Amino acid sequence: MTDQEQVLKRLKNWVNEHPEDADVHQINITTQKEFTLRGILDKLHKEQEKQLVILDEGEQEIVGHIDKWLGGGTNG
Amino acid sequence: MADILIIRNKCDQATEYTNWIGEGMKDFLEGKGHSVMDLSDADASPAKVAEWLGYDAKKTVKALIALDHGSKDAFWGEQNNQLAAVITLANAEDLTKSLQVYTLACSTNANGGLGETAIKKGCFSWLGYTEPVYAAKSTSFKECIWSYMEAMAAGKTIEECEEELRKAYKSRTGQSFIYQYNLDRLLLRKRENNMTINSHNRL
Repeated sequence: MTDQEQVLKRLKNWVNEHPEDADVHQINITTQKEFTLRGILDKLHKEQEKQLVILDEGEQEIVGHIDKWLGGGTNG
Repeated sequence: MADILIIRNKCDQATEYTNWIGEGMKDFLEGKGHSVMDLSDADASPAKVAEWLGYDAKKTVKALIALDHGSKDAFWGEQNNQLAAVITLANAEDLTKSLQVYTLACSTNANGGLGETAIKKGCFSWLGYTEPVYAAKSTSFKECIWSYMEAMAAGKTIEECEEELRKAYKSRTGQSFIYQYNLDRLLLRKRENNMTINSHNRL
Protein backbone atom coordinates (compact mmCIF):
# COMPACT_ATOMS: atom_id res chain seq x y z
CA MET A 1 0.00 0.00 0.00
CA THR A 2 1.43 3.43 -0.97
CA ASP A 3 1.74 6.32 1.50
CA GLN A 4 -1.20 8.07 -0.17
CA GLU A 5 -3.35 4.93 0.02
CA GLN A 6 -2.54 4.65 3.71
CA VAL A 7 -3.45 8.25 4.50
CA LEU A 8 -6.62 7.89 2.41
CA LYS A 9 -7.61 4.79 4.37
CA ARG A 10 -6.89 6.42 7.73
CA LEU A 11 -8.71 9.63 6.80
CA LYS A 12 -11.71 7.68 5.47
CA ASN A 13 -11.97 5.82 8.77
CA TRP A 14 -11.65 9.07 10.72
CA VAL A 15 -14.34 10.83 8.62
CA ASN A 16 -16.71 7.91 9.16
CA GLU A 17 -16.15 8.16 12.91
CA HIS A 18 -16.28 12.00 13.06
CA PRO A 19 -18.85 13.12 10.45
CA GLU A 20 -19.52 16.50 12.08
CA ASP A 21 -15.87 17.40 12.60
CA ALA A 22 -15.19 16.35 9.00
CA ASP A 23 -17.41 19.17 7.70
CA VAL A 24 -15.89 21.98 9.80
CA HIS A 25 -14.41 24.72 7.63
CA GLN A 26 -10.78 25.43 8.47
CA ILE A 27 -8.18 27.83 7.12
CA ASN A 28 -4.45 28.50 7.17
CA ILE A 29 -4.48 32.12 8.34
CA THR A 30 -1.38 33.08 6.33
CA THR A 31 -2.01 31.29 3.03
CA GLN A 32 -5.82 31.56 3.37
CA LYS A 33 -6.13 27.99 2.08
CA GLU A 34 -9.62 26.94 3.20
CA PHE A 35 -10.68 23.32 3.44
CA THR A 36 -12.75 20.68 5.20
CA LEU A 37 -11.29 17.30 6.04
CA ARG A 38 -14.13 15.66 4.09
CA GLY A 39 -13.21 17.79 1.08
CA ILE A 40 -9.60 16.64 1.32
CA LEU A 41 -10.78 13.02 1.52
CA ASP A 42 -12.92 13.47 -1.60
CA LYS A 43 -9.95 14.85 -3.53
CA LEU A 44 -7.71 12.02 -2.35
CA HIS A 45 -10.34 9.57 -3.62
CA LYS A 46 -10.47 11.29 -7.00
CA GLU A 47 -6.70 11.28 -7.28
CA GLN A 48 -6.64 7.55 -6.65
CA GLU A 49 -9.48 6.80 -9.07
CA LYS A 50 -8.18 8.94 -11.93
CA GLN A 51 -4.46 8.55 -11.27
CA LEU A 52 -4.14 12.33 -11.66
CA VAL A 53 -2.74 15.03 -9.42
CA ILE A 54 -5.81 16.93 -8.21
CA LEU A 55 -4.60 18.30 -4.88
CA ASP A 56 -2.94 21.69 -5.16
CA GLU A 57 0.20 22.63 -3.24
CA GLY A 58 -1.69 23.90 -0.21
CA GLU A 59 -3.83 20.75 -0.08
CA GLN A 60 -0.78 18.53 -0.39
CA GLU A 61 0.69 20.32 2.65
CA ILE A 62 -2.55 19.63 4.53
CA VAL A 63 -2.38 15.95 3.55
CA GLY A 64 1.11 15.86 5.04
CA HIS A 65 -0.25 17.25 8.33
CA ILE A 66 -3.11 14.73 8.26
CA ASP A 67 -0.66 11.90 7.65
CA LYS A 68 1.38 12.88 10.71
CA TRP A 69 -1.77 13.43 12.78
CA LEU A 70 -3.55 10.17 11.98
CA GLY A 71 -0.32 8.26 11.65
CA GLY A 72 0.45 8.97 15.28
CA GLY A 73 3.45 11.21 14.62
CA THR A 74 3.84 14.85 15.58
CA ASN A 75 3.22 17.79 13.33
CA GLY A 76 6.52 19.28 12.43
CA MET B 1 -10.80 54.39 28.77
CA ALA B 2 -11.03 50.59 28.49
CA ASP B 3 -9.55 47.76 30.52
CA ILE B 4 -9.29 45.57 27.44
CA LEU B 5 -8.95 46.36 23.73
CA ILE B 6 -10.01 43.84 21.08
CA ILE B 7 -8.63 44.14 17.52
CA ARG B 8 -10.20 41.97 14.81
CA ASN B 9 -10.20 43.21 11.23
CA LYS B 10 -12.34 41.65 8.52
CA CYS B 11 -11.00 42.28 5.05
CA ASP B 12 -10.24 38.84 3.62
CA GLN B 13 -11.13 35.16 3.94
CA ALA B 14 -8.87 34.43 6.92
CA THR B 15 -10.05 37.41 8.91
CA GLU B 16 -13.67 36.36 8.31
CA TYR B 17 -12.70 33.48 10.63
CA THR B 18 -10.70 35.46 13.21
CA ASN B 19 -13.27 38.25 13.32
CA TRP B 20 -16.01 35.67 13.96
CA ILE B 21 -14.01 34.22 16.85
CA GLY B 22 -14.18 37.64 18.49
CA GLU B 23 -17.97 37.91 18.11
CA GLY B 24 -19.56 38.13 21.55
CA MET B 25 -16.24 38.64 23.34
CA LYS B 26 -16.98 42.27 24.29
CA ASP B 27 -20.32 41.36 25.87
CA PHE B 28 -18.73 38.44 27.72
CA LEU B 29 -15.91 40.55 29.15
CA GLU B 30 -18.26 43.36 30.11
CA GLY B 31 -20.39 40.78 31.88
CA LYS B 32 -17.32 39.95 33.95
CA GLY B 33 -16.96 43.60 34.99
CA HIS B 34 -14.35 44.79 32.49
CA SER B 35 -14.68 47.83 30.27
CA VAL B 36 -13.95 46.90 26.65
CA MET B 37 -13.29 48.63 23.31
CA ASP B 38 -13.87 46.42 20.27
CA LEU B 39 -12.09 47.59 17.12
CA SER B 40 -13.78 45.37 14.56
CA ASP B 41 -13.58 45.39 10.74
CA ALA B 42 -12.81 48.90 9.43
CA ASP B 43 -12.30 50.17 12.97
CA ALA B 44 -9.16 48.02 13.21
CA SER B 45 -7.19 50.77 11.44
CA PRO B 46 -3.65 51.95 12.24
CA ALA B 47 -4.97 55.30 13.46
CA LYS B 48 -7.58 53.85 15.82
CA VAL B 49 -5.23 51.18 17.14
CA ALA B 50 -2.59 53.84 17.85
CA GLU B 51 -5.23 56.03 19.51
CA TRP B 52 -6.40 53.22 21.80
CA LEU B 53 -3.00 51.68 22.59
CA GLY B 54 -0.67 54.71 22.82
CA TYR B 55 1.08 54.62 26.18
CA ASP B 56 0.77 58.31 27.06
CA ALA B 57 -3.01 58.48 26.51
CA LYS B 58 -3.58 55.26 28.48
CA LYS B 59 -6.95 54.62 26.84
CA THR B 60 -6.32 50.87 27.17
CA VAL B 61 -5.00 49.98 30.59
CA LYS B 62 -4.87 46.20 31.11
CA ALA B 63 -4.87 43.91 28.09
CA LEU B 64 -4.97 43.58 24.32
CA ILE B 65 -6.78 40.73 22.58
CA ALA B 66 -5.63 40.59 18.97
CA LEU B 67 -7.40 38.27 16.50
CA ASP B 68 -6.07 38.90 13.05
CA HIS B 69 -3.25 38.41 10.57
CA GLY B 70 0.27 38.42 11.93
CA SER B 71 3.80 38.05 10.70
CA LYS B 72 7.19 37.94 12.38
CA ASP B 73 7.52 41.73 12.34
CA ALA B 74 3.93 43.00 12.55
CA PHE B 75 0.39 42.51 13.69
CA TRP B 76 -2.10 43.54 11.03
CA GLY B 77 -5.35 45.48 10.95
CA GLU B 78 -6.88 47.10 7.93
CA GLN B 79 -7.07 50.39 6.05
CA ASN B 80 -9.51 50.96 3.16
CA ASN B 81 -10.40 47.26 3.28
CA GLN B 82 -6.76 46.25 2.72
CA LEU B 83 -4.39 44.73 5.25
CA ALA B 84 -2.35 47.34 7.10
CA ALA B 85 0.27 46.86 9.82
CA VAL B 86 -0.95 48.28 13.11
CA ILE B 87 1.65 47.04 15.63
CA THR B 88 5.21 46.89 14.33
CA LEU B 89 8.75 46.59 15.63
CA ALA B 90 8.91 50.40 15.49
CA ASN B 91 5.80 51.18 17.57
CA ALA B 92 5.67 48.07 19.78
CA GLU B 93 7.10 49.91 22.78
CA ASP B 94 4.52 52.71 22.70
CA LEU B 95 1.56 50.48 21.90
CA THR B 96 2.19 47.48 24.16
CA LYS B 97 4.23 48.79 27.11
CA SER B 98 2.75 47.62 30.44
CA LEU B 99 -0.01 45.57 28.80
CA GLN B 100 -0.81 41.85 28.69
CA VAL B 101 -1.19 40.75 25.06
CA TYR B 102 -3.08 37.72 23.76
CA THR B 103 -3.00 36.99 20.04
CA LEU B 104 -4.52 34.55 17.59
CA ALA B 105 -2.36 35.42 14.59
CA CYS B 106 0.46 33.88 12.61
CA SER B 107 4.13 34.14 13.54
CA THR B 108 4.14 37.19 15.87
CA ASN B 109 6.03 35.21 18.53
CA ALA B 110 8.81 33.94 16.25
CA ASN B 111 12.32 34.34 17.64
CA GLY B 112 13.54 37.89 17.10
CA GLY B 113 10.05 39.02 16.11
CA LEU B 114 7.31 41.29 17.33
CA GLY B 115 6.42 39.54 20.59
CA GLU B 116 10.03 39.21 21.69
CA THR B 117 10.70 42.86 20.82
CA ALA B 118 7.59 44.02 22.67
CA ILE B 119 8.60 42.16 25.82
CA LYS B 120 12.12 43.63 25.69
CA LYS B 121 10.56 47.11 25.42
CA GLY B 122 8.16 46.81 28.34
CA CYS B 123 5.15 44.70 27.36
CA PHE B 124 4.31 42.45 30.34
CA SER B 125 3.33 39.32 28.40
CA TRP B 126 2.72 38.16 24.82
CA LEU B 127 0.95 34.90 24.02
CA GLY B 128 1.25 34.07 20.36
CA TYR B 129 2.50 31.62 17.77
CA THR B 130 5.97 31.14 16.30
CA GLU B 131 4.80 30.21 12.79
CA PRO B 132 1.69 30.41 10.59
CA VAL B 133 -1.31 28.71 12.24
CA TYR B 134 -4.83 27.57 11.44
CA ALA B 135 -8.34 28.63 12.47
CA ALA B 136 -11.67 26.82 12.27
CA LYS B 137 -15.23 28.06 12.04
CA SER B 138 -16.59 25.90 14.83
CA THR B 139 -17.88 26.55 18.31
CA SER B 140 -15.26 24.16 19.64
CA PHE B 141 -12.37 26.16 18.13
CA LYS B 142 -13.92 29.41 19.33
CA GLU B 143 -14.22 28.06 22.87
CA CYS B 144 -10.62 26.87 22.71
CA ILE B 145 -9.34 30.33 21.76
CA TRP B 146 -11.58 31.99 24.34
CA SER B 147 -10.16 29.85 27.17
CA TYR B 148 -7.08 32.05 27.64
CA MET B 149 -9.15 35.23 27.55
CA GLU B 150 -11.70 33.83 30.01
CA ALA B 151 -8.95 32.91 32.47
CA MET B 152 -7.34 36.32 32.05
CA ALA B 153 -10.66 38.06 32.69
CA ALA B 154 -11.18 35.93 35.81
CA GLY B 155 -7.94 37.29 37.28
CA LYS B 156 -5.86 34.15 36.84
CA THR B 157 -2.09 34.41 36.42
CA ILE B 158 -0.69 34.47 32.90
CA GLU B 159 0.82 31.03 33.52
CA GLU B 160 -2.63 29.71 34.51
CA CYS B 161 -4.13 31.30 31.39
CA GLU B 162 -1.52 29.57 29.24
CA GLU B 163 -2.24 26.27 30.95
CA GLU B 164 -5.99 26.69 30.29
CA LEU B 165 -5.31 27.29 26.60
CA ARG B 166 -2.90 24.35 26.32
CA LYS B 167 -5.46 22.13 28.05
CA ALA B 168 -8.19 23.34 25.67
CA TYR B 169 -6.03 22.54 22.64
CA LYS B 170 -5.02 19.12 23.99
CA SER B 171 -8.61 18.10 24.68
CA ARG B 172 -9.52 18.76 21.04
CA THR B 173 -6.67 17.04 19.18
CA GLY B 174 -9.06 14.34 17.96
CA GLN B 175 -11.17 16.93 16.10
CA SER B 176 -8.57 18.00 13.51
CA PHE B 177 -4.81 18.15 13.04
CA ILE B 178 -4.96 21.92 13.51
CA TYR B 179 -5.24 21.71 17.31
CA GLN B 180 -1.94 19.87 17.85
CA TYR B 181 -0.38 21.89 15.03
CA ASN B 182 -1.23 25.23 16.67
CA LEU B 183 -0.33 23.93 20.12
CA ASP B 184 3.15 22.96 18.90
CA ARG B 185 3.69 26.57 17.82
CA LEU B 186 2.19 28.32 20.84
CA LEU B 187 4.55 30.38 22.98
CA LEU B 188 4.15 32.66 26.00
CA ARG B 189 6.79 35.35 26.49
CA LYS B 190 6.69 37.35 29.74
CA ARG B 191 8.67 39.82 31.82
CA GLU B 192 7.72 38.40 35.25
CA ASN B 193 6.05 35.41 36.85
CA ASN B 194 2.59 35.28 38.41
CA MET B 195 1.23 38.44 36.81
CA THR B 196 -2.48 39.03 36.33
CA ILE B 197 -4.20 41.78 34.35
CA ASN B 198 -5.15 43.28 37.71
CA SER B 199 -1.67 43.26 39.25
CA HIS B 200 0.41 44.33 36.23
CA ASN B 201 -1.11 46.98 34.00
CA ARG B 202 -0.97 50.69 33.16
CA LEU B 203 -2.95 51.89 36.18
